[in-house]
Amino acid sequence: MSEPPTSNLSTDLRDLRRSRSNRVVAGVLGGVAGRLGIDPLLLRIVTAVLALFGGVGIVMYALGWLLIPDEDAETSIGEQALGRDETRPAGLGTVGLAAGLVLAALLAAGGMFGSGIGWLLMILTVVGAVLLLRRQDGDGQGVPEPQPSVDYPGFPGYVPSVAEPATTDAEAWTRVEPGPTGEPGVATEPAPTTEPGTPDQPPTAERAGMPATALPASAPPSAVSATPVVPTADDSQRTSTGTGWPDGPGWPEGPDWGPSLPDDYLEPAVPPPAPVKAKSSWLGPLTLSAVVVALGILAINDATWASVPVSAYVATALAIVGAGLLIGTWFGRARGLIGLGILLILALPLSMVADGLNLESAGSVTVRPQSVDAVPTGLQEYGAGSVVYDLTELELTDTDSITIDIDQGVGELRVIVPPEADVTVNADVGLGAVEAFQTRSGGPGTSRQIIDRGDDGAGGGEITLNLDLGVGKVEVGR
Amino acid sequence: MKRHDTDVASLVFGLLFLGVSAMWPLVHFDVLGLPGLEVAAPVLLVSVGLAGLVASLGRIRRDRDGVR
Repeated sequence: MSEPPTSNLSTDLRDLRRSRSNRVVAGVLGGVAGRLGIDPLLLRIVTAVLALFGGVGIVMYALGWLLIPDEDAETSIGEQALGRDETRPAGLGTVGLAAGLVLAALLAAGGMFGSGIGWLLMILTVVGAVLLLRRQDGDGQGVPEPQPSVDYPGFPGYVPSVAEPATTDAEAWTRVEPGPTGEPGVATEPAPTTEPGTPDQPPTAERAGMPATALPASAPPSAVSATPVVPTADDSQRTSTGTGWPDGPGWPEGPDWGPSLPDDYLEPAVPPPAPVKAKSSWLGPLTLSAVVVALGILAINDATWASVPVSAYVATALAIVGAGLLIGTWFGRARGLIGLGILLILALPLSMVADGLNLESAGSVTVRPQSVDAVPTGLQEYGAGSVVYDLTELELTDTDSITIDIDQGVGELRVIVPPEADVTVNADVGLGAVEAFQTRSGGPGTSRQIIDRGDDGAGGGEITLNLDLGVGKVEVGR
Repeated sequence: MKRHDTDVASLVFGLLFLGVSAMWPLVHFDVLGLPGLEVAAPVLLVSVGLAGLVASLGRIRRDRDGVR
């Protein structure tokens, strides 16, 4: 078998199923791992790690749950919800997967900005999404998928071509030589396959051992496909050789298997129900392409001069999806975008949280200014970690006044002030606690102003602390 | 390009997505703030829903007129 690695990508995606037997939550990873032939545990670990990076793993898992059908179902939850069961079962899945990849990469890039990996991931994702979209267009126009070439013993590189069965057959059968028993024709090499005891030969090879007269010149595709002929009721009358093919005398014109061939290849003659024409619209691909282009332009901006927050990517994608849907109100049709837009809306707050987490500055930070001039001015931003501002070495006179603005994502924020200073604390904690001097408060959305004049009452300099913390604990003491 | 009958689902969700994305810069650059968001979000939902209602009514009226 020499299949090009990309040739069956869309087939693989279409055949992807959530595992019923090997599931922890919804069987997404079990199914994917089964398809890839790797240990599900590996994927679970990777997903768990990715979940820590801005929730990428969670988003990807949710997408898989939505877009991959259950093991014994034809369509995914997302497709069922949008009522697209009948037509092009892979369509939405493929588009959704592409969109999901973009989304996941955005979140991942948000977690890894500045590291280079985020950019690599972003570029790969965009390329992958474009490839997937192009593939999807190809599927719609019925471009034949490359057939796996099978090296039969007698016919190296013989390809059971769908497009030209007659000519390929003719070429193949030129190699057939008359058998020693004077039968019409028995292929030189694969002839023994008709004997019992060689069950490892593929069914097609057995086919190759058949005489040329067995196949009509205009054999339809399925006659040369790799699927064995479905046994019919007549089979019981045949000699049971184990291979399913009679090897007794007179088998070229045998009445038992001849009728079974029409059974086999009459099926494709029944035309599949014509898909509703409105289903395949230019609008969906157009919108998604516009999204990809816009994200690419944003990424170029981000890389060159401007710093684009992660949520800007999500918001831009959402705006374009919305515009596409608005066009779809009157022209074209792209209801599949609704699902994508809902996912983007869900991702928007997540990405805005990711904006606040500048992971580069994570860790433990201690700031200990020696003089008033050395006190940092302007907004000080920190990601996750422990931040300590030790102001005890400041020598403040009564006229000195300093202000410190700190914005921290997650962690612990401690400020130690000189004993005599008059301190005003404006603490704003999304989720957590504020402990300033003798006061304590906590819970979600804690916003407090605490004023403490120190041991000496008024005087000793003024310190204003504007502390904004996402999740964690703010501590102010002397 | 042929104009088809108003697709209300596309209209509603398209407006919703555009509205949410339009709110993003307001929130990001802190123009709106949390209190502003608490007003803006319901206003957006109500206006989108009203647009959907109007579009649906228009469709119903057109369908009825078409039958006559």
